[in-house]
Amino acid sequence: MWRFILFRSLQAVPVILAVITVTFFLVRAAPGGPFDSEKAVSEQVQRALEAQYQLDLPAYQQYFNYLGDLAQGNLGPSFYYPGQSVNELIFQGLPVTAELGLYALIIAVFIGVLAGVIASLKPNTIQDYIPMSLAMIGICMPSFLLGPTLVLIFGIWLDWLPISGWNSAESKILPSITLGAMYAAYIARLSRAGMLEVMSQDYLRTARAKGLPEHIVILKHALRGGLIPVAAFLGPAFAGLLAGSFVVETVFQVPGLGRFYVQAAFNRDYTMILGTTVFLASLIVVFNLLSDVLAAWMNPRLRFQFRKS
Amino acid sequence: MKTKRHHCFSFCFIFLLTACGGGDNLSRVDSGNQEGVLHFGNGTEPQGLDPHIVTGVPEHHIINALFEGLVSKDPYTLEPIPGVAESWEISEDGRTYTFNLRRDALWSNGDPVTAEHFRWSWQRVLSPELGSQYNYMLYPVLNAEAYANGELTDFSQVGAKALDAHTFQVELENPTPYLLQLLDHYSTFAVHPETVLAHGSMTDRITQWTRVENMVSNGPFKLSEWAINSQIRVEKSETYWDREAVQLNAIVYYPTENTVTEERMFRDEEIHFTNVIPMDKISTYRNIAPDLLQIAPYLGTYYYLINTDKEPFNDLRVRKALAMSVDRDLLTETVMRGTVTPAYALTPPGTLGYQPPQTFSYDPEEAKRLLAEAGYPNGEGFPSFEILYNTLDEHRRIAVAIQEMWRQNLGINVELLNQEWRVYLDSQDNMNYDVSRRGWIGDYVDPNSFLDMMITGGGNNKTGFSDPRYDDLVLNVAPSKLDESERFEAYYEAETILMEDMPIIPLYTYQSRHFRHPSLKGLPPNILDYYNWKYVYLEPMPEFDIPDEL
Repeated sequence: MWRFILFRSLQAVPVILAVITVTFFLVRAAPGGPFDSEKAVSEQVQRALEAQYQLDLPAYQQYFNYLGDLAQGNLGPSFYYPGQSVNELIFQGLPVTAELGLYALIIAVFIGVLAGVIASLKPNTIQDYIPMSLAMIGICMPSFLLGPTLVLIFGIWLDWLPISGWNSAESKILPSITLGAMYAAYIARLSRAGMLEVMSQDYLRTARAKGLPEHIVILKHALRGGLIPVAAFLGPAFAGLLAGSFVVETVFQVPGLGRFYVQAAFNRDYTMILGTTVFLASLIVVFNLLSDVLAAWMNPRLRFQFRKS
Repeated sequence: MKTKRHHCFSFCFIFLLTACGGGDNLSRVDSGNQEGVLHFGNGTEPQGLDPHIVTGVPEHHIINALFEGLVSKDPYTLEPIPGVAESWEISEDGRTYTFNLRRDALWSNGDPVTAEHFRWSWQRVLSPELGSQYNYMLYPVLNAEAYANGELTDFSQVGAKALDAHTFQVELENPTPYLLQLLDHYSTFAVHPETVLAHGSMTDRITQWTRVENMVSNGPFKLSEWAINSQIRVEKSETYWDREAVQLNAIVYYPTENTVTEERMFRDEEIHFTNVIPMDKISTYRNIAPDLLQIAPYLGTYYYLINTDKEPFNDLRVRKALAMSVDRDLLTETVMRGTVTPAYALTPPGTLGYQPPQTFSYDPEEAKRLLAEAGYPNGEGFPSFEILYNTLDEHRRIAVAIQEMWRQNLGINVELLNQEWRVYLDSQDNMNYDVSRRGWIGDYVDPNSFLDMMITGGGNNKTGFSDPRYDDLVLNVAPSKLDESERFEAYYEAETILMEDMPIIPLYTYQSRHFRHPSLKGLPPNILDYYNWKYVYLEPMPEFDIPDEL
């Protein structure tokens, strides 16, 4: 197991390095620079701005300087927000996005697994069709539609919940549901498929044959095997929640990382684009690793393979 | 009064058992009205709060609360009123201004604001190393431009001098009648030198002196909270010289770049004032609650640039035909739903009493004739070209309307090309376009703020337009006139030359559009869309409720 983790971690290094290199040169290749504005500035001002951010150096030198800083954990100053460093901005947005992602994930797992398991118990009956149709709607419904719809119903018509911000417990409800809905739908489909697969396995027939009550069969034996696909999905899902919460953060005025990530591209904030990309790429790598470990723990066959190798 | 009932509803229990109490809470606007706290939709997150570095409107709104220049403006008339300077004398030739600084003007740390602070600050803005994008606001000052270009390294030769602690003297290149207006622009404000130097050198852009814990400012409010992408809060300053006149206790600025969300926040009484009104909400509000709309003339022009270096646009007749075949009344009434007014020149009408010339009008017949004369009868053989605009629905709608007008009136085929903001700026900058949309908002109320951008080689010209007489009028003749009507005559002549040559197609004059809660007072509309926070106050309206049908 430890060898597996070590091997996977070493694999991550070239991946991250490739992400840095491609992003570094791509952002600089995009037309328009970080200091362009509607109002033309004089040559002197343009030069001074470039000098302040070391854009006057040759590209390869900027690249190695960046790698050097990165090795010390320094993502550099933001080009767009003078006086703020990328580290600060990321660590300002991260807790909010992580909290939002966590609530969304909890909602997604709770609703998703429940719907998926219910559907799998009586496949191809009404008990299957209703939750699965809802899941299909959940997958198809984009959050920029679901968010405002929830706002309209619960915020404005019923007047139960605040519609923007991230400062009170109530204000966190709608964004979490909006973000979680799509993942709930995925998880519902995954857990239904996983459950259906294990239901036909020999060990469940054995369990039933030795006279175990149905709820024990489902909860103790089937669930653990049936949810392996869900567990494998959780890692990428959480990373996706962190990286993909931009729309929800914009709709609900949530001060998270997702907004920085997208705005940085529009602002040509080179260091911020790089910083957020590298950070999120690392997160994805780590979460993929974690979910592989979790899947191995849940699946005795995989564990056995590791031990043998 | 809008109340919020926080019922428990089905999902709460999942993660928020404690949050769901019953009880009635006031909306943010209503509680703000009671506590004297204004909740303000401010567009985007400000880039920063250093007056010498930032360039945007959202920054302007916050800096105006935190800092005060030598001169301020009356929000009703836009006339200059005393700020840090309690009075000033202007020499006979209009080239020397002497400002008498008030003795009770203090920084938020208690230090007095002195003339030397202004001299130091102006040196900072004009230092080439700082790279201030607004340094040209001080170019009317003697030798300022030379210093900013690095041609002059001795700042004592620049016309900004601290005669003593409370006397600041400014010498100008030319009499500049709008100088006092410039002194209300944040790029000419003083910053506290000791604070700036405590966190870096004079010309560092990457500095932390504007952080909440470090910031020292001299305006009616002081910075108390800055949560990025969430809110910025300023509170009434106890050291401000005119603190008795300040009626608000605090202002909270919200970054609201999603205009649809902003409108919902307004409807839910979370903010008093919005940055904009989304176009598709205008009719509904007009019908149900017209009092909540604040739409007023704004010192800005929306126009199309023509690339006059390119065939067939190098032919004046083609440019005129394009300009004359746009029905601006139809455009402003339908596409823009009457929120803007037609424009036939670059300078908005009534800029400080200046009326721009109208050299043409909507005349499709004449346009057709001109196009035929240029060799394209009924548009035959006219090469297909593109209208470039930055990605935004409003720009697209306008371009579609104009595409149709040109097809119907001239028989020519036009395509639309949208580009993301920075790509679009880059294309414009390299004159890599045929026809391109552009907007310009005046920095100060004077025709010069518009006309000086079209001088030969001007950084904002980008059309290939060049006329020596125009350059002479804008750069030399007008600035040397002391008499306002003579000055305006020179601008009128210059603008006539510009519009006869038609390197641009003016489309409409902007109007500012905001939702305003009726409890918000003392924030009158004006053509600069300028807010003087000292005048703003809140009148609690417990009975008022924003209609639900909106």
